[in-house]
Amino acid sequence: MIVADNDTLWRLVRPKEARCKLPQVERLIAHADTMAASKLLPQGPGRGFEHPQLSLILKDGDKVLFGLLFGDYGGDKQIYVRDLVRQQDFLAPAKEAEDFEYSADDLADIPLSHVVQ
Amino acid sequence: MNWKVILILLLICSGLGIYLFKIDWGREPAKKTEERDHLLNCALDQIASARITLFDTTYSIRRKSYEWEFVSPYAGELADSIAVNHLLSSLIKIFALSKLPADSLDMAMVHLKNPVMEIEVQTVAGDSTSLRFGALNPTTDNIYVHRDAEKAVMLISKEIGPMLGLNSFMLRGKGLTVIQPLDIAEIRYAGRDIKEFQAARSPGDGVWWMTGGKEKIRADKRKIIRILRDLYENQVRSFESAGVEESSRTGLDNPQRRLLVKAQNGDSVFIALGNTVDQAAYLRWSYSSLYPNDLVLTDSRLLNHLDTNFELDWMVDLRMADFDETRINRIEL
Repeated sequence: MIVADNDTLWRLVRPKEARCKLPQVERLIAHADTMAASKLLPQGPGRGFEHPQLSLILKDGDKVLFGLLFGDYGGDKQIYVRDLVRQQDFLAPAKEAEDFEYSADDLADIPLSHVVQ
Repeated sequence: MNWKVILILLLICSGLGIYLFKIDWGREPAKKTEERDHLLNCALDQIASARITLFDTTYSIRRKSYEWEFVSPYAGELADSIAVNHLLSSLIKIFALSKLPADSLDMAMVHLKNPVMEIEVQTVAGDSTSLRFGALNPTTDNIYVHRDAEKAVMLISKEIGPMLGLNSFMLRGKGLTVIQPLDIAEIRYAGRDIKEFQAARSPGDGVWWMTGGKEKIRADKRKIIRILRDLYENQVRSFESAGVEESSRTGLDNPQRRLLVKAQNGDSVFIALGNTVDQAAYLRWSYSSLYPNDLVLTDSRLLNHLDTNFELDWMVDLRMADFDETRINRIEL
């Protein structure tokens, strides 16, 4: 979980406490903003959303502004995606999910003292 | 030549040079060209209304924000803002090249008694200027213009000449709807052999929803606005008087496509697309309730353009995100 202290200071809260790299956070939000699906799907079961590979939720306080679940692969380099706000399922290029695969180390800034050591 | 004579000549020449230099130095710089007398002495955005008389018809238009609309005839229709703005801005730019006393001219001879074109312009401040355009002076290649009741008649460059050939088609707007795309709240598109397309904009958040079977599907707002803008802009290729053509020939008695657009305030425009024109298949007989007394000819490809766009699968909003990124303060990944 990442929390904004102000416009330019983002803090990683879980799985460890650290200051975030601002460019990584901005890239993550920008990617969410520009992401496009390739097909709208009718609602249906069996797409792996019970145990999603990845989930991304953007909030304003406790209010969910944007939420995605990435389920199973749908073949042809496509992945099932559920939009939690609109409650709609899509097929999207699997690459879209890969671009959200950040580890805590990718997001955490290196403390200055560490660099000096 | 004696050296004394040469010396005297040199002295005379240098003295003359100094004299001429001093005269030139003392002279005031030449005055710049006299101030130009433009036909209209106001800015384009100060013009509130205009009356344009061409031969026996007077068109009265008024400003509607950045566009122009007809007061009469064609009340309620938009005027072709490009044509009107071009005409008015030209009048602002053009200036008198010379002036002749009005009483020295035979006003009938120079067509100022029955002008070729007459324009009366009123500014937002209430000032009005009337311009009457007469004949072309064959000797000087200039056009006679009489402004208000001035005692002098202006001669202007013939640049304005082509505009004197304005006609009603040029002045009328060419859109099939008069409702601004962003004001449209509902669309219904139907016709032979196609599935009806329906979309409506929710008043609160401005999201467009399509009706596909039992469920509502979110539509791509950008695509909807783009196609509505196409209908709002230049689409009419020609105006034909309604009733001249048999409705069976135009196909408008059973149109191939029907489109209804409704504005948020309840206004609506109905458009019908009929058959292509015999001998000119690139044109299609069409009707818009915006022009109740006319049939209009549109590009025949408009029908395919609408079919392609007003199609549920194409119009689905495939953008995953629609949020204000400045409001994000928590990310769960």
